[in-house]
Amino acid sequence: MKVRWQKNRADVGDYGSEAPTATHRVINLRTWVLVASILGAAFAALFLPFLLSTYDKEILVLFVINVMLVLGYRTITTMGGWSFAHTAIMGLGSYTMAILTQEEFGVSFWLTLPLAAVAAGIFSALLSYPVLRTRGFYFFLSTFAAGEALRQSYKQFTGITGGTYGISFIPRPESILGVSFESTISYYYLVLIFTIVIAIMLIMFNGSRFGRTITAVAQNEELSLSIGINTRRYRMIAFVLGSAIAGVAGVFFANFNGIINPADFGSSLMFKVIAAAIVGGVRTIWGPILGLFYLTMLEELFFSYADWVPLLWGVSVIGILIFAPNGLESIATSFLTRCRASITRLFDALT
Amino acid sequence: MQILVNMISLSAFYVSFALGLALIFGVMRTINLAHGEFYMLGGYVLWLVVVVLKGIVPGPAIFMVALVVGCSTVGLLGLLLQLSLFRVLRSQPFAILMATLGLSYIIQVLVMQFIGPMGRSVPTLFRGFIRTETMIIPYQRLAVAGLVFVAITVLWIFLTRTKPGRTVRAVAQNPRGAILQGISLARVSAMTMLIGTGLAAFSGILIGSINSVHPFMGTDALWRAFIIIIVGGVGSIPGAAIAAVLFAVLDTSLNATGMGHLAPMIDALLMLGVLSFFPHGLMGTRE
Repeated sequence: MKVRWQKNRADVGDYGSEAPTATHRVINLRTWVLVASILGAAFAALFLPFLLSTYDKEILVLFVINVMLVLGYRTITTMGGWSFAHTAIMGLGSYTMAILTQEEFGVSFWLTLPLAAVAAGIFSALLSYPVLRTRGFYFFLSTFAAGEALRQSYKQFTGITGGTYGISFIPRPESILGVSFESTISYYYLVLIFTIVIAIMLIMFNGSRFGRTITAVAQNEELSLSIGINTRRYRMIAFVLGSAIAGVAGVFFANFNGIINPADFGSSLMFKVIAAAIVGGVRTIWGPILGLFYLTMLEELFFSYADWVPLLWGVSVIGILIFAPNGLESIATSFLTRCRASITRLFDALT
Repeated sequence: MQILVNMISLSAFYVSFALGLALIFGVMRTINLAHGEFYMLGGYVLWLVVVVLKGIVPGPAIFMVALVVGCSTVGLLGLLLQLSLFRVLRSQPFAILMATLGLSYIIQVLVMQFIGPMGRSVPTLFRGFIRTETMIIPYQRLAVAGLVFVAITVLWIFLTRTKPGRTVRAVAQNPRGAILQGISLARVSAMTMLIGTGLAAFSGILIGSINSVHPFMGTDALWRAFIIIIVGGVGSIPGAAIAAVLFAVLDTSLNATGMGHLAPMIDALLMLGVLSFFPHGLMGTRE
């Protein structure tokens, strides 16, 4: 996997290599793929729940919530850092919602959504002060330790978080405009709408001058610094934005399950998020979603061998790193390029 | 006085665990996230050796057999890892980190499937204790602390006084310069992985003889080790040793004052505080 970050001085010769930038042609193809997949996905997403069993519907809702989570994660990776605190920060959103909607506070679910995003955002902004001084491995390790400490606080501050037992009986969202969210199907549409809105926002953000500056900072921080970009600020904004999205995903995750405890935000979910980003690839927004889809399919296919699933994920991660460093998305893209080329040739031959 | 004994024995564990990680990072320029799983495998080797040899030979002998068998088999696994995964991905240090993350889950699942998810406890191998008016020192803890001291001394002599050890340090300081001096990078990497993962197994055996062994012990120990090597400066062996002692003293004091449950948060805050002022750790070199 070619991960973009500043070249380490100790890396010599072929140790550091830069990912080639996308050519114009690929960008054209991307828009084409984008439109086709949006239409296909929208069609499938709208009617899919009616074809599924109750259990599969719940898996689908959790999948969409996880999509939100990995979209936030991918936003963080655009600035070049691979965080290991993502799910712990997501927990901050979950606990914000779970605590505030309890009887004694009685805050509306809808109000806790922005509050959760703000809580996760503020925490990550504070955390970014020390951890964004580090890069590459240091960043990974320091977020690993910080995230684990945050998760430990969920366990230890029992008065607020309920300790290892967590919080249960989290109420479903109040109905708005007469629409109730008690059923799985209506909940599915709710999280789908939020995920699509977030995805569209992120696509626009990535394409904006701001988003492209973040990518530039990730590719060559020294150069960006030398032309007067406040690299620190851009990296921090990517980190805070990704974390705030994780906070929102945390709200839905906790609310849909109706019960949370610190183990929910542990390293196994974090591994799933990272594995989705690696298996799918982080060059585009579709990569992590594709990766997450692959991992979820594996999980459900080997449902009766659930204990073996992390092993299958681990093997997939290693296999992708060796054989397709840019992830499944790059395989899909090159496959589509070839399809497109042969269709063009076919047309040429016919005319 | 009892607190001092606890500090020394916790330091011994932190040092032996963090040292292997620091050594591997220094030479390979990558973090081996499966380090915790190699440590866990070390613990299981001890359990296995005890099951086989219990009642046949005295406790201390079992312990020595476990040390030899555990460090060598796990060290060889590390060597195998170097020759396969690390070699294939050698131009992408960050990919190695992610691959070892995947590997750690593979090892965890295999241990859970073939040995079981439950913890296994190992009987005390060094029976008896020294008792004075103010403290109790079990022989077990004394043996552990002594062995770590011996291991660190041996490693120190190896790195500073022998030719292969000097080549390891040369590569850690400047890989290109080392290659120009005719040092084989492949040989040094293999040697480092052998020693580094052997050290992981070593600390697993030591901790297994005091606590129980279970499949998740690696994950639990790993994040503490990350805090230690970040504060010490990633890749700096003296830094790792000093930070390990520092955190052992801190954690023991917190436990003694009844604030042990807050230790993870306080340790992490300390790490973040250090990072705010010394982004490369206390003894790390600037990139």
